[in-house]
Amino acid sequence: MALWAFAVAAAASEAQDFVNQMVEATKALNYDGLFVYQRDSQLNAMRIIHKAATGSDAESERLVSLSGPAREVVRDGAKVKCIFSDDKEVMVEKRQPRDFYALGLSEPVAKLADLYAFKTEGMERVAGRQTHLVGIIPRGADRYGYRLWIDADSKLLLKSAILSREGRVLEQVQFVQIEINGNIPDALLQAELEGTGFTWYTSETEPADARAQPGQEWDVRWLPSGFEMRNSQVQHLATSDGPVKHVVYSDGLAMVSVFVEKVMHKVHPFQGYSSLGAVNAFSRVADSYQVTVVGELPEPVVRHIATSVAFHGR
Amino acid sequence: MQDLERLSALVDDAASGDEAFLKNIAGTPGLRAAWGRYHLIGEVLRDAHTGAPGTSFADRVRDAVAAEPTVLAPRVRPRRSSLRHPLAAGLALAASIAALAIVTLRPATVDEAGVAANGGFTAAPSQVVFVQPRDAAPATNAEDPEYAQREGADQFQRRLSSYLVNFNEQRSNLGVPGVHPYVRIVDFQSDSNRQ
Repeated sequence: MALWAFAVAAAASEAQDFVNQMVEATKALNYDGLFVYQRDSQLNAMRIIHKAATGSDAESERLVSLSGPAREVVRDGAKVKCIFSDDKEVMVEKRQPRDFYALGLSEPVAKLADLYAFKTEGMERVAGRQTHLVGIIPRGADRYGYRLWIDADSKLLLKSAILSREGRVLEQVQFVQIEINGNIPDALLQAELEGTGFTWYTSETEPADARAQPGQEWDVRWLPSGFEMRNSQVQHLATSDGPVKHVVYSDGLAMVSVFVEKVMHKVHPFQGYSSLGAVNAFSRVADSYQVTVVGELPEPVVRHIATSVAFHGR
Repeated sequence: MQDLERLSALVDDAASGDEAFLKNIAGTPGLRAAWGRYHLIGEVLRDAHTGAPGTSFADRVRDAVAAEPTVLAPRVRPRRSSLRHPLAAGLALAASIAALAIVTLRPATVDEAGVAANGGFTAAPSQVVFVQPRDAAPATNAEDPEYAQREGADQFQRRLSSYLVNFNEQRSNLGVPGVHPYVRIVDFQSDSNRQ
């Protein structure tokens, strides 16, 4: 019995090691690959080009749609630029310093083990390469599970799926072709869409030490077990008239964002629910504030977090 | 022909794609073009069924066919609304179908009773509702509720797009595994298939 328990613990530890190596490889390697993204009944092709940080050059990345309207996301050390040719719009968001809260799976094994079971599930072939298959199964119904196919050689994530509690695949990404550690010319990291004549939206962020908003304080009174605040900031979004408070919570794997902004003059508040694959959002209006919760958590959980936001004091 | 039939079934979610076939799609220009075309036609059909305002079935079929040769270097499609993205589009589309009559009627300080008193979870609401702006002149929306609805949907789409980008950025910083954080932003099916 003790031997069996030891074997289970060792397998869990090995699975966590694979995931930690994967998180590091994702940042530290150059790669250029084609992959398909599936959600619901949709299947789309994309290309990702990633260049690791070298010397004074920050890590950079470009993600391009290969089907449908041209869309690109270009990231570097300072900003994220999203270009939508179909809408002729560009959204620029200033980036937070990388690794500012880079907890990932560096959370203690014992802590994550209370929330998830980590399992190695053998080897499978993806994009012509051998991968370790890792299963991460939530211990409660209040979060999703993951299956990760991690390249045995490079430790890059070549396939991933987010699963509902019932085991249904909510979203899946799978590389069909990838070149690892090749030279990445700078030209490949430049957006093909220049955005000339497009409408540009630029947003800025400043750190915030507390959850208080000018003239108003609020609390999130309910979160799933194991969730802790990871970041708090006030953002000046081009899409909002006033400052937006953005607080981030995570259990080390799953993440949820709480956005709160004052309902401004002639702005239509909104309330309700929507989903995109594994991401759920719930909005409500409370005490003249718009509260929106966005998270990779089941819809009832996201909604419960949103409705637990309580305002007090002025 | 066999590949095209299989591709069609894959797009319709009636078949699963093995790795070899997916690789074949990526490496075969004809299959990639057909893939894009099937998705575009799927969009057209979905819009036709949902009766999305401002769409013409014939026009969209023509657009879909015209887009075929340029699937890999897509043309700019006619703009249908501003800064659509997957998450916002679902809310907006649902609202456009169901909430036209509601938009001017809901009080601005409504709070949902979606969570049971004991903390248990209840069923989700099925749509987003745009609430009357506090300072808007009531006559404006009363005279043109559809305009108010569209304006509310546009405002909402922009804000939720920005929220989603920021959520993904934070997710990227945390380094958690799973779907690449910006894939959902690039996902081109965003603007018409969420209900």
